[in-house]
Amino acid sequence: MVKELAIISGKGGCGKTTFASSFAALAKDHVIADADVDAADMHILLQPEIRTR
Amino acid sequence: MKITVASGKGGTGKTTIAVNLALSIENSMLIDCDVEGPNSHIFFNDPMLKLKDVSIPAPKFDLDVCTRCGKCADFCQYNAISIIDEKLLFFEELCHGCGGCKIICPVDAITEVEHNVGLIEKGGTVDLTLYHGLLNIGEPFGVPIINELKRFAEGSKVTIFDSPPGTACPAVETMRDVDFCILVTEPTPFGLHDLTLTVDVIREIGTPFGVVVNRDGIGDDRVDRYCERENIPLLAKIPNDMEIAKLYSQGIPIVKGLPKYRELFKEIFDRIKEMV
Repeated sequence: MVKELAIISGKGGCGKTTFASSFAALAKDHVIADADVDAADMHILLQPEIRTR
Repeated sequence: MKITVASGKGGTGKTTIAVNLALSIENSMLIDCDVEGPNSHIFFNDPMLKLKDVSIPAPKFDLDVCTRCGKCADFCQYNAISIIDEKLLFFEELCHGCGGCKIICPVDAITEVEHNVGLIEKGGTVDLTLYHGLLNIGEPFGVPIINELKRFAEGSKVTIFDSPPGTACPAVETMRDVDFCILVTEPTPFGLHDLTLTVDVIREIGTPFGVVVNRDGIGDDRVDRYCERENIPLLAKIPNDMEIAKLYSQGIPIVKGLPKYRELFKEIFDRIKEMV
């Protein structure tokens, strides 16, 4: 089974976050990590509740 | 004059704006500072030719002379040197090549060797010179190449710098020490979110800036309202034009295929001239 799947691209704006969030929506038991620490956007799509900061 | 084209979000159209602006104004040159993935040259047919290597000085330690006093390790802001159990450890990938350890060493145990991090290439057309940098695979810091690239700006010309995406060191270095910064965004929640991050950074840097909205029409007007609220000049909007998209997909600059857009880019430049 796939345990860790990295979604990357050389070029910006080609759909990493869109692709990753769609995969996340399909997976049953999953953890999502937005590693774009400069400008993370995944939370805009998934609207998570912040538990710890 | 020096103008940087930047954006927090990738793929908003930095390179498109930079290339078309450079092609629309007189006496310009283009420097692509996205050393991890330069794309500007794809809009030109001429090949890029190697101009020079870029290296940073890396320390070399003479362990017979070194007393393990630890002064170099204390000095290094990036923790590239450690003394543990009388053993000196050097982490080359953390070294920024500042040369401080060599200066601080009281027994002259450190000499410097050149460490190659990438190269600079030159190309473009007869009318427009283009420089870009390429960071070696595996090298973590593009900033030394960006610094070297910035030195090619000619004082008598309008130099357009195409910035890397993001808000970290490489983008900051490209937005510093220029006369104006164009922030390119798209009218989507993602474009707006990353624009606000970039605005926070550029206000810290202090470079005057304005916003260009690309693909206008695909989203909402929240970028407009944000700019109005924050008193940020909205320089122009590039419409979400299928003809532009077709040219882009063929690697043709907008103003070559659709000369009517030349005016729009000239207006952007005129507005910048008024502000600097």
